[in-house]
Amino acid sequence: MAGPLGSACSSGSLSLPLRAGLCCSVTSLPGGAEARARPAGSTMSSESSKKRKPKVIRTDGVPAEGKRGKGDTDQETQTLLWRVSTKLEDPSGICMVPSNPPDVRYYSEESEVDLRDPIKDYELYRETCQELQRLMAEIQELKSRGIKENASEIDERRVQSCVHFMTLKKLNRLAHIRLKKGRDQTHEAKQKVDAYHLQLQNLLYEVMHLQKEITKCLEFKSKHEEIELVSLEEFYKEAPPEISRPAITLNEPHQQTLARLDWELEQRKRLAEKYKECLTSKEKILKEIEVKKEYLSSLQPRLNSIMQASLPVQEYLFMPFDQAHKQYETARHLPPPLYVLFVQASAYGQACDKKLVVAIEGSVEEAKALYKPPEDSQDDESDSDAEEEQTTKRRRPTLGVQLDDKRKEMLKRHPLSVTLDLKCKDENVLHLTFYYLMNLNVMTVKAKVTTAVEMTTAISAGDLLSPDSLLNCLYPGDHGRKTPNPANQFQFDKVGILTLSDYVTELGHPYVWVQKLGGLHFPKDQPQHTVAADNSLSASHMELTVKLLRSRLQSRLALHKQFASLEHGVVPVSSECQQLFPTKIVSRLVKWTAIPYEDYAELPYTKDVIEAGLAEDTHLYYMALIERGTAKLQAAVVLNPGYSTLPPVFSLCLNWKGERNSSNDDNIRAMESEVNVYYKELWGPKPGYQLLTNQLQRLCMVLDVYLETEPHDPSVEGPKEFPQEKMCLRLVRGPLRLKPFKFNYPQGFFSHR
Amino acid sequence: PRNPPQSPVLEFWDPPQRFGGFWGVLGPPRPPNPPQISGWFWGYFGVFWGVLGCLGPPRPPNPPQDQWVALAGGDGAVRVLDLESGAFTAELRGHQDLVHVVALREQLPQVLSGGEDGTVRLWDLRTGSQVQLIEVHKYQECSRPQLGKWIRCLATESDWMVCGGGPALTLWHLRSVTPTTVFPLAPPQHHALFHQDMVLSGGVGPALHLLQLNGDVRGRVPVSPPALRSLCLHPRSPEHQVLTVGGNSPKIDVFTNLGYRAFSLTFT
Repeated sequence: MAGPLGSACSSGSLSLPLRAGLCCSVTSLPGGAEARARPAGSTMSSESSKKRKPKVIRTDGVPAEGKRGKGDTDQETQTLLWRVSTKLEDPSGICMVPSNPPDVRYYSEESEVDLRDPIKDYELYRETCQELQRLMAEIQELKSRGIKENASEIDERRVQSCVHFMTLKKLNRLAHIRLKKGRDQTHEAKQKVDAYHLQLQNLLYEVMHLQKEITKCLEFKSKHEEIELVSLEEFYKEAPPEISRPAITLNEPHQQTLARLDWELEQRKRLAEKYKECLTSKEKILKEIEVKKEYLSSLQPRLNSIMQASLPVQEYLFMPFDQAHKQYETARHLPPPLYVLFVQASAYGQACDKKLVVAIEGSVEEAKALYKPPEDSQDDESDSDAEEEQTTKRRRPTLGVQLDDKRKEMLKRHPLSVTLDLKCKDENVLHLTFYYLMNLNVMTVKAKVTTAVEMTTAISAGDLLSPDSLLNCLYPGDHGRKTPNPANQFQFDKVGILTLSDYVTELGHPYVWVQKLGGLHFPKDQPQHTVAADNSLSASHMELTVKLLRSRLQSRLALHKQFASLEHGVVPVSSECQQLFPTKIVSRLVKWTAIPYEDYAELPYTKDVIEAGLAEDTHLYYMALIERGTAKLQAAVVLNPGYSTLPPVFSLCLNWKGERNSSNDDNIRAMESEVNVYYKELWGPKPGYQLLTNQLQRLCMVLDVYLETEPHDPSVEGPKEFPQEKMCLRLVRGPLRLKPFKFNYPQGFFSHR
Repeated sequence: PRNPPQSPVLEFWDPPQRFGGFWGVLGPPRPPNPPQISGWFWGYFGVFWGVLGCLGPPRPPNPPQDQWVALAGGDGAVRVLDLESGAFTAELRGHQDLVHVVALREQLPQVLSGGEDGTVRLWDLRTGSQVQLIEVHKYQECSRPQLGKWIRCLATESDWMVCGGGPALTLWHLRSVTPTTVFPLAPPQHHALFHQDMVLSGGVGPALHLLQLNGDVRGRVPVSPPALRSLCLHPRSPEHQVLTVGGNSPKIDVFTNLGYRAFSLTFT
């Protein structure tokens, strides 16, 4: 089908190959065209041309119009076009010559494209189109003139136009080929770019991925960092060389860490083993302990039985251990201050004072009941609640009753008490019972005296041995009416108690020495919340207090006896004290009574004593009346509870020719000083309990001297009422003109001091 | 227990010109030591032995270069003690009983003494003999036999003398030896002073008496002690009038105005 390339045509040089092709096609075309018969006629060709035409329209619209126009007008042209178009359908335009002779030259239109200049092709195209138009115009012209004359010209022109059409076709092909090439190139380039782009994307993605991985890796916290490893020096010291491998690990940190971890693991294994061993040994020991405990618990009943068996032996040997033991058992239930007192008193009694006996009284069950655990009382509480509700329905207790109950609760005593019995030489016994007030944390004491011999109670001696005042002021200022615990004041305010002194008759006196014996020490001004019982405090006071108690009892008993005698008007002077006084004393004691403090305070001549602070309401007051003739000497006596270490103080008033007392008569003052100031001479034998009676006797004596040495008043008729019988060296001495009151033994005269 | 003060425990008076400061003399005996009189002055401490008795306040001595004290003795003698040597220069005997009080006359070198025996005697210091004897209790105007005849207080100024004790406090004219005024004070007086135109006196009873020379009681000032024993006036400056009184009480009252008590001194 493909004609030889070299056949020359009449057209331009450029279109030579094209024409050749075209010519070939013309010649062989009908055969080929029939061979490739298409069912459709013009429609098909128009379709295919229409197919083509859009392509052509894209590149160049104008000529396509022209082409179209041409196709419609001429059937033959159309057939020709159809043939061209079928040729054009094969865009490659490669005219292949299969099994051709070797010198067949074939050309590739594609390579031709590269050689030709598109602009020139375009110019050629325009020219050709113009030619065609001209030819068509000429044909038209010729045809319009008449067919016969111009047939050959028309034919010629037709052939020319066919040639032009060939050119056009070639150009079209070329254009298409160019287009395709261009597209292919673009496509290729695009594909390359796409490929690069894809690569780039991939790479970027990979980069990101790697970065993430790196970050992850960097952030990765290996568990091994949480383990505390031993320090490097220790590690190198302790780890065996096969683990530590210093040669390698010193240089590489990674290896070092690994080695350290290895070592750690080994150590932990070892320790785990040790732990297991320790557990097993602990189990063993626990078992042993169990066994021993059982053994011991089985021992207790055996010991008890031995104790029981030994009771008869104890009694036989007079060693009442059991009794003491029982007492100690009860002592365990004592509250701490009482316990301290009990322990200290027993110790003192055993060590120093055989006549001191300590015992515990009271109900142990109640003491135990105080400390009942709360679970047991749950049921009780619920019952009592029910009961309480019932009672409140019936009758509401008045506020006063409630307050009363609260007070009672506050002043409640511990059920146990400690008793101390102090025996004196003459078989008189002082019984002291010590109580503990739980809520107030103070101890109180009640005292009682039992005398060996039944004593005749003198009227004035009523207060001497009364339990209320017997232990007053054992230590100076300790009157036992106020609670020594400053914190109690706040407690009292809550329940409306003014002072503890209202309740001392039933509760006992809270003396300070009692607190000290119980080891309770209350500092002066600051209330403390809890004061614990202190053994050392108790011990240091025990001896002194017991001595004071004894002497107090003795002195009171002595006074008791003396008062009995004084009330009868006899001043009992013992034989040892006879030398203090002359044999004959005329003045007599006629009256001895106890007076209340208020009466004492009202006397005009006692003001100085009260001002000096020597007369307080804790002291005992008496009035003595000494008479001689018409002279009456009243003596008001204030007896300090600390008799006889603290002497009684006398205030005198003489009624004889007027009222004379210390403020207007110097001699009365001198007489007072004789008994008040120089009392040490009057103590008598050792315990000094005779001080009071000796003082009274001395008063009688000095009254005698006073009255007898009074100068004779010449204006009054008659002899002196009191003739001078006492021997005096001088009647008057000194600017005060005092009388001689001092008695000298054994000469028996009076002189001035 | 109270310790009643005996005798004038302390008597302060203006020192002689040569010495400065206070003179204090302490009297009470402390057996078994014999009674002693001690004196202090700023320069040095000197102890003089003496006999218990009252002390007469030395006026600016006369002649000025002699420093001496007149002492009333409990044994009835009046002694003159030389302060420089510490020895007794004169001993004047005459009283029958103990001498309570001495007083010095200003112009004449005479000493008056009053004692338990009820007499007031005048002594001449140069001769050392008794010049005059006044038996106070024998005069009807002033004697009070129910109280006794003892003379306890004595004071003199130029020709006048006031004395009292058992007998009533009386103003005497010495030249004529007559009691001119008897002061109407019932209790015995223990100390009296001349002051300006008044007599101050104190005794039994808690009052300081201001008496005029004609016998009127100008005032009775209440004092703390129930009985006064000693009065002392600051003699020097008339514009600073200070009077201290003491008695049988632990308080010493101080007066800046004789009308009332200013304040009290107490021993603590």
